[in-house]
Amino acid sequence: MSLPTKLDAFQALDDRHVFVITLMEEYGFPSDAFAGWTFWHRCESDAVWIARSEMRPIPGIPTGAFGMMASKNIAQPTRLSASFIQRFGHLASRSTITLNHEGTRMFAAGNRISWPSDESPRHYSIVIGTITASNGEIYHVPVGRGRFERGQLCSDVPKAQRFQL
Amino acid sequence: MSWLEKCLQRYKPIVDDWDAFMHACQMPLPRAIWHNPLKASADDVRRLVAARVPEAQIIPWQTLAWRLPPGVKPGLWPEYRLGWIHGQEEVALWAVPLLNAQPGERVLDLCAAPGNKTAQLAVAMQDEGLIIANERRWDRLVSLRHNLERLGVTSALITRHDAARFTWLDGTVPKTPFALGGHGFDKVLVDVPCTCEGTTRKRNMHRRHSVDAYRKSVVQTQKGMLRRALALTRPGGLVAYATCTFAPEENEGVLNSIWPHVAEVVAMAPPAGLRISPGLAAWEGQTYRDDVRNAWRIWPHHNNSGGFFIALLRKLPEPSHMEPATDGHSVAAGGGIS
Repeated sequence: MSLPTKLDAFQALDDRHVFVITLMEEYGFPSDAFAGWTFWHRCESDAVWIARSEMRPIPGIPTGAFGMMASKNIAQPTRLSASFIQRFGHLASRSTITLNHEGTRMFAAGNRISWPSDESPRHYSIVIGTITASNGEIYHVPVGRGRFERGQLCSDVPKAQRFQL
Repeated sequence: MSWLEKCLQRYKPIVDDWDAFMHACQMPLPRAIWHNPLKASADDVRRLVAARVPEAQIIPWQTLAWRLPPGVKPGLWPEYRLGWIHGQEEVALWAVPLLNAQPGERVLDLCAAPGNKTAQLAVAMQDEGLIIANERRWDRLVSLRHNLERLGVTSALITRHDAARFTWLDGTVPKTPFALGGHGFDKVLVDVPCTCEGTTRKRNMHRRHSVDAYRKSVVQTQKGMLRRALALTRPGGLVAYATCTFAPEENEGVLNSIWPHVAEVVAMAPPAGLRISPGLAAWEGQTYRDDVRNAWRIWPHHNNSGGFFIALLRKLPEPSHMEPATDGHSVAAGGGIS
């Protein structure tokens, strides 16, 4: 494994890039949702990162992370990272699913939930969890990416970000 | 005499209450958590913490942080996994507030892993601006990235480079402490590798081998890092130098190696409730520059915390002419600063 050191290892994506357009359309983000941020494509790994617009690679210095990873693959703008969803998912207005507390408990722990296929038109969705906190208050929180597969909603939340309710 | 007491015996002349100090060093360290406003509102987190741990005490000198009773493990809470809160040693919370980082600034964290203070910087800057989070060790990059992503930080560029050879943002190398070939950083945090004697409450020092030998080598590393940090800072910019050790060689001794016309150690007013001791004026026959006393020593028995040392340095404007060095400092050939 090596870290990129050259300036052209990362390329900024402008607003007309297919990744950005697809992301905005599929999830219904408002047009100003990412004002002040820039999406960057890391050419070697194909991942897309979101970073504050002031950020640039430093020539000659290996880069380990460029802000926050938005997607592991530029060809799959809908396959968003859990970190990205947890930070920006509340701004999405389409392709979102809200789970109840029990569903959230299953999903956040990395389990599958039975899901009728006619209610799952899209392959990936932003999953909003309903968490009943220890004080009884209810929170709706973007938890991670859900994937529909054979009548089930699969949790794509990485192991390190899973939790028990 | 215990192994730990033998290890710390050399500090007996500078500790005000030896028995209390030794007792504190062997007690479990209280955990602390702080609220992450990038992901959750202060009111929500305040209510959640109060419901989960009614005995949690608000830390008065932090924006919104709590000291937890022994045995509480916040790392398992959903709020932690979702990045609404973060755990950090209480005394280590101090370094970042002193820098007073502002939104839009350029800040360098030279030894960033595991990312606790980097995240604090991002929160202070409201995730606006640029933070360079540098870490040389491969194995520590993972925790650094994981913590920053979990906390929702988008303003940090993680780099892997030797801190003592770091460059400006344009990749150019400082040739002297003042030559600003690129753009200087507004603030730099240098939380250097050290002998970690102040962390005895959370780590077992018995596992450490030959602290004395390591100290001799790490001091040179620390001096190199602080000098490079100052060289990368714009005139008027601030550098926070921090360690978690009691050793004067790694604390006041490193500050003393800085040319007085390059930077001054800034006087800081401690907040009410935090007991600090000033930096030492001398140690084992060596007298330090006067402003080293502006640094803070935080002893475990004074605040029920770990041991910590922090100094805030202000980079001075370039003098109109450079006087010849008379104190043993020199500018090394080949552009390095020594």
